[in-house]
Amino acid sequence: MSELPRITPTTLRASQQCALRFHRLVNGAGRVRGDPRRRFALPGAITQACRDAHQHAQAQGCSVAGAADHAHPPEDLTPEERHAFAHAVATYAAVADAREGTYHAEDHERFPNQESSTGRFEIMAPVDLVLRHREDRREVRELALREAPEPLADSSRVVLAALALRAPLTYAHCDLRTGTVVEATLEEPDRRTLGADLQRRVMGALGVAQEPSPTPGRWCSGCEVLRTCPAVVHTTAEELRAGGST
Amino acid sequence: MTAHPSDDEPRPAMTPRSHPDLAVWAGHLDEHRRCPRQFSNRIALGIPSPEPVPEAPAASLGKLTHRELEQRHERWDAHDGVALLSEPPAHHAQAVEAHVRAHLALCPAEDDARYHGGERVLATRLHDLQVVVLAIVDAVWEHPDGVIELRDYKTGAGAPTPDQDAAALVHALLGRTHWPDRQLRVTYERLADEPTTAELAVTGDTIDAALSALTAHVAALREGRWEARPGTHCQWCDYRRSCPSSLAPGEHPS
Repeated sequence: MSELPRITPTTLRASQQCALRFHRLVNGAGRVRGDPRRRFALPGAITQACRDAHQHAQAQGCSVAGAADHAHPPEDLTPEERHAFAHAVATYAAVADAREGTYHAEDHERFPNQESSTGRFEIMAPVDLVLRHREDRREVRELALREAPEPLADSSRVVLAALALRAPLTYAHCDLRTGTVVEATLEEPDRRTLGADLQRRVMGALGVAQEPSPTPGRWCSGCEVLRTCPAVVHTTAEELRAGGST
Repeated sequence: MTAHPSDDEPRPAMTPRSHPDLAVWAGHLDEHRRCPRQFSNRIALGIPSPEPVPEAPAASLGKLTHRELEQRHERWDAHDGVALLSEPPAHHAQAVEAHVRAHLALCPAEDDARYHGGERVLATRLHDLQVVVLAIVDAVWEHPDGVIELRDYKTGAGAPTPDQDAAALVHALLGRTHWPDRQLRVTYERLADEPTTAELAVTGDTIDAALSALTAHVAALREGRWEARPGTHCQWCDYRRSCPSSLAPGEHPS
C-alpha cells in the first residue's frame, strides 16, 4: 500500500465541512487499514449483485432484470437489509434495461488509485459500475440509496471519478429507492479545472504545520480525528461525578 | 428472491471504525429506548430507507421553525419583525408564524441575556467510557446573573419537559464540561399551544443521572442489544415493511 496521502470522497467532502478535519486527513491522520465496519455489507452486496447481473445478462443474452431475478442477498444480512437489497437490485435492473451501455467487468480496473501529477498524493475514486458507450466514452454509475446531491457535478465522488479516469465521462447517480437517475457530464476542460482546484486545496494543507480551526457540525460523529479535536472537551465520568472537569 | 430462514439471528454490536470510542448524540438515548431495533437499523447498520419515506408533518414543521429562529438570531435587526425571513412551504407558513410569535414572548434577549450562538455543536470525550458525547444546542445564552442557559426549541404539542428527557440530561452534562465554573440550566422553549418554558437546573444529581443514562446506553450498544419494541412509532418507521415485529407493515399514512 502506498504511503502517499490519499484523497477519498470523504477527504474531499471534509474540505467543505471542516478545515481541520481536511487538514489532518490530507496529512495522514485517521488512515485505517481494512475496514471492519459492518455497515458496508449492504451497499457492497448491492453493488456486487448488480455487477453480476450485468455479467450474466451479457453472457446469457437476457435482460439485466432477468439476470437479477437470481440475485440472492448474503446470508448474514438482517431481514431489513435483505428487504433493502431486494428492492435496490430490482430497481437497478429496471434502470439498467432502460439505459444504453455495455458492461465489461475489467473496466473497474481503470479506476485504480491514481498518483497526482505532482507525485505528492493519490486519489481514490470508488466506482460501482462502468458502462461503455459509443466512441468508447465511459459512463460511471453510482448505486445509491439516497437522492443525488445538488449539483451532482460538484460532488466528491464525481470529481474523483473524472480525475481517476483521465478522460471525459458521464456520471449517472441512480437512486435505487425510486429508480431516479441524475446525470452529469464532464469534458476535458472540466476535468482540468477540477484537477487544478483539487491540487490547490490539497497542496494548501499538505505539510502545513499550522492547523486551521475546526468547524463542528453534524459530520462530527463520523470524524476520524474527533478524539483529538480541539473543539472536544476531555474529561472522565469519574471526574464529573466528583464535581469537576478538565 | 428467497427469504432467509433465520430472521432473529443475533446482530453485531456497534464497532467503531478507527478507534474504540463511540460517538453518541443526545437524541440517541431516547431513540434507542423507543426501539433498539430501529436504532440498530438506522445508526449501527446505517440501512437507508428502502423507499423514500414522507417525513412526519410535525418533524417538517419543527425543522422550518428552527431554521427561521436561527436566521432571526443571526440578524438581530430582523429578530422582532413580523415577516418570516425563511420561506417555508405555504401549508406550514402559518404555523411557523405562530411559533415565531410564541418565541418573541419567550426569547431571553428581552432580559438582556447575551447570545452565544445557535445550532452549536458541543462535544465531550469521556475517556473512561470511551465515548464522545455530542449535541446540537439550539441556542446558548448567558444571563446577567452569570447563568449559562442551553435552550432547545420544542414545536410539538406533546413535547417533553427537560426532566422527562434523556437528551436534556446529555445537554446538562455537555454544559457542565464546557462551562465548568458556571451555574447552568437547560431550558425547553415550548412553542406549541400555550407558549412556555420548562427549565432544568443543573446540579450534581443531574450530572449523575446523565452519566447513568449514558453508561447504560453505551453498554447496550457495546453488547448489541437490539430487540424490537413495536408501538405507534412503527407507522413512521423506515423499516416498517421489513421488520418482523412491525405493527404497521403497510403503506405510510399520507
